[in-house]
Amino acid sequence: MIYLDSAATTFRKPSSVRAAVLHAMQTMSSPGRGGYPSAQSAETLLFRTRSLAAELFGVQQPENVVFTFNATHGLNIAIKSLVPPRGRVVISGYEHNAVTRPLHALGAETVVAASPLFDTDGCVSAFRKALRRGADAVVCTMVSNVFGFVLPIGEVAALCRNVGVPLIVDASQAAGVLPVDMTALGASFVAMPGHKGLYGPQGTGLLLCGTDTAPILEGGTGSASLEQAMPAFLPDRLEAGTHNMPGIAGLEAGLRFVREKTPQRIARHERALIRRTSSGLQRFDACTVYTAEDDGAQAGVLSFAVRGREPEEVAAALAHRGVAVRAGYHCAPLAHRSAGTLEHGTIRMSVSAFETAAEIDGFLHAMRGILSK
Amino acid sequence: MNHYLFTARSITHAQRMAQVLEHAGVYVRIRRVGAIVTKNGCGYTLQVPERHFRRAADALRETEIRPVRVFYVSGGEKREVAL
Repeated sequence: MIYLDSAATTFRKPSSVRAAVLHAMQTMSSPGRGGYPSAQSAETLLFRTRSLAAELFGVQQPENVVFTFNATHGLNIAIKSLVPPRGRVVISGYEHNAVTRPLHALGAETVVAASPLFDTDGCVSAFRKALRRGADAVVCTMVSNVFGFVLPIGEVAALCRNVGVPLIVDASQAAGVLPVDMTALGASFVAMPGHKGLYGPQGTGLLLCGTDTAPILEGGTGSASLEQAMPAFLPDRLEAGTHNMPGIAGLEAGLRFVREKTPQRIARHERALIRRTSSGLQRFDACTVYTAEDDGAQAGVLSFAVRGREPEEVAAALAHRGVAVRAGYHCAPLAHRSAGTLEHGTIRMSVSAFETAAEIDGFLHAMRGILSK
Repeated sequence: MNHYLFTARSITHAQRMAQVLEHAGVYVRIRRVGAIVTKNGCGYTLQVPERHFRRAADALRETEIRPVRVFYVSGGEKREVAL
């Protein structure tokens, strides 16, 4: 199989991730619940992983790194910590349903800082304009999960700091490939999955916390057990119940892989593959390829459409030829509205550190076969 | 043996204090304790040998990662003390 759906989950993982998962299953029990060796091993792993993530993502204190099930879980905590019911929130035009659905559930007044695809300056201007009336929070993705558009998060963060509006960053497609520095951004929260660019298993995520938090889940924490309110301190406040130890063990191995390989090298590799894909697809008359002119404005995700064919039909034909891509709306209808692709959606291909130029050529060969029929 | 108990609000807090002390050359064990020590349920302590107390206290004050409470334990008796 040629796997080109890493924006959903990186399917190929470093062998160290698999080994760490197995090791955790064989040696670790519930952390924070006992004084015996298997519980202590689990506790040590949690602290080590928090510390490593804090170092990688510019968090001052490891206890402000909270383990979540995925980025959606983290975004829900962040949004529900900052946005009161019917509050006013400014978001980019490229947000995922993981942002827009919690806002909808809160009845928030959601103001979209709309800008054309790959228009970085337009994005900053749209945020500046939308923030004139203030807001309870800003939510901004670093990279569109549909188009790979790299949003100007540094500039958006500066605007938020200037007007004193808390910022929630969705780093789902950025963590592991772009610099993510919580302190430099001055963000209130940064949410990221563990299972995409950090190469951990599914069911893992991180929420970096820079402000007061509201739990969306209550339960046992192994601390302050006589009190019925959730502990006021992190990470316990947001980590009720037993942790996903095999998942977190795998995530730690994934973080080490990223640190060793460096996000810069991974990004360079991914961008080269995207360029190769883009120029290959542009040779097909029937293809519309959504690609940035400026290399820096696009990460390892690319969308395209085929004239006269539904995205799902093309994706099914590719699957038949052993190529895994995603078709449709990618849980981000807002991004399609912003880019003008809402009517049909797109076909999305995305890459990780493990895909190769030969696999991109294999994908292009499969496309040629599909388009010739 | 006489020693001090530094109580922590959570395992992570205990680990942070232990890390600070380790950097200061004081090696400690993290132990679970109950409500008799914490007053509010399950918690953790660091057992600090009496001879290392001053160095440990200085290191924690410097990093502002402070224990919730500090006890001096001697002859099986516990007495709360200031850091």
